[in-house]
Amino acid sequence: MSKNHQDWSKLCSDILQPILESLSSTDFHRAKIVCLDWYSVWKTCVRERLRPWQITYQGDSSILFDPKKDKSYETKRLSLYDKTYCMASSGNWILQVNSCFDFSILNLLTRKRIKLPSMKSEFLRKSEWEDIIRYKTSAILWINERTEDYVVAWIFKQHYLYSYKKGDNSWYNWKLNNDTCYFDMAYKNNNLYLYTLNHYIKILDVPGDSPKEGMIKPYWLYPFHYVEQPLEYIWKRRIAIQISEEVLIILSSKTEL
Amino acid sequence: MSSNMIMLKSSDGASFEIEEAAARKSKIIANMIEVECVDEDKAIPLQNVTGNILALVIEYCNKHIVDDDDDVATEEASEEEEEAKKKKVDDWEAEFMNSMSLETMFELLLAANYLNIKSLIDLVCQTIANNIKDKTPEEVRKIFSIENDFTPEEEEEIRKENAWAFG
Repeated sequence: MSKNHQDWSKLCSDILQPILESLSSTDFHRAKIVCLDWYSVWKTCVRERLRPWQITYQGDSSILFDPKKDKSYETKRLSLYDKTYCMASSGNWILQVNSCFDFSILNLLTRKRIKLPSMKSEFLRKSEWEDIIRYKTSAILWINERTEDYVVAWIFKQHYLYSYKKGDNSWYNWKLNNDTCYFDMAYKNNNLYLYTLNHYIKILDVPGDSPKEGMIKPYWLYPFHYVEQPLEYIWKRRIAIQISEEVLIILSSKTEL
Repeated sequence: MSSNMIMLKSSDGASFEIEEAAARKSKIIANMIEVECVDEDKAIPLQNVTGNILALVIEYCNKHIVDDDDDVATEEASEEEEEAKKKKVDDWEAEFMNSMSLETMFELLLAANYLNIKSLIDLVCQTIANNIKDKTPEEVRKIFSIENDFTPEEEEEIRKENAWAFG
């Protein structure tokens, strides 16, 4: 037999790909560093979406639980800030803020942390930290997992909008029309979509050198009108952007009995 | 059912007789039969498959053609019977793969790929995947005699992407 020609690293990708794709999450990620050839095939693999994992703290370690495989992985403890509020998430990353108004984004799997400028000087009072939680502050985080380019934005008390992107010196304070308040916001393709209290949809252009209100105002003439039924009460309003960049408004309503 | 026999010839000159129905498990051979380029008296030459590997492929095809016939005959079989039959096939496949060396598996996989026998490719792939299961990258390299051709920096960089998987 042609034993000498056997080279498992040179398995043709048609064969190796389904082998790699059938592996469990852990084995799948380990297999990519066997050799360069496996790694290049690995990169072409298509995996079904992972279900959200649950993270639990236990002493000095944290447990990652994969509900699909019904399997747990132990890892070193993730260093979350003490008393933190998780504002938004994107891929493996979360945006968090602590009671000293120190912001950071944290990769839950690699434990890499990127510190953002503190906003201590702008928010001095303790009550303001509590307001962040009480107002269910709307925030967005967008990150490119490869380049680690990112954009974050958040709205304080439905009124003050701040944004920060990779490379900025400081937070940008959007001094928008003072009368306007916001229910929620969403981010897609360099645009920040704001859903205002008077039911308009505003689009802001974030990553430019100086952020500005977008010139394109496709929704300016079309405020979102929803007529509530008698006794109906809307307790949550959210905005989301579809892949086709159409805007979705999601209302959660309750009927008072 | 017709039980036409056809001849296959391995790269090292060994000839094998196989039922046409079994040979049709290979899409390549099935195609050859469709377009009638199979001469009744002549063996089909398979230049990429050695005799000992071809013997295994034929053993697999024969086993599975029998199973397929059973399926037709007992279409109304109860669920338990179906399950028992499936278990029988699974047991046979486990036994078939169990005694096989990695070298043989490698050759069998290439042969199954060349002959385009989907279920055999799946079976061998699954067995190989089982060999990777719960192993560290170092162990996988050792099992398959694969050389680590990453630079330490590259390896470190890729490991970092999913540190949790490496414990």
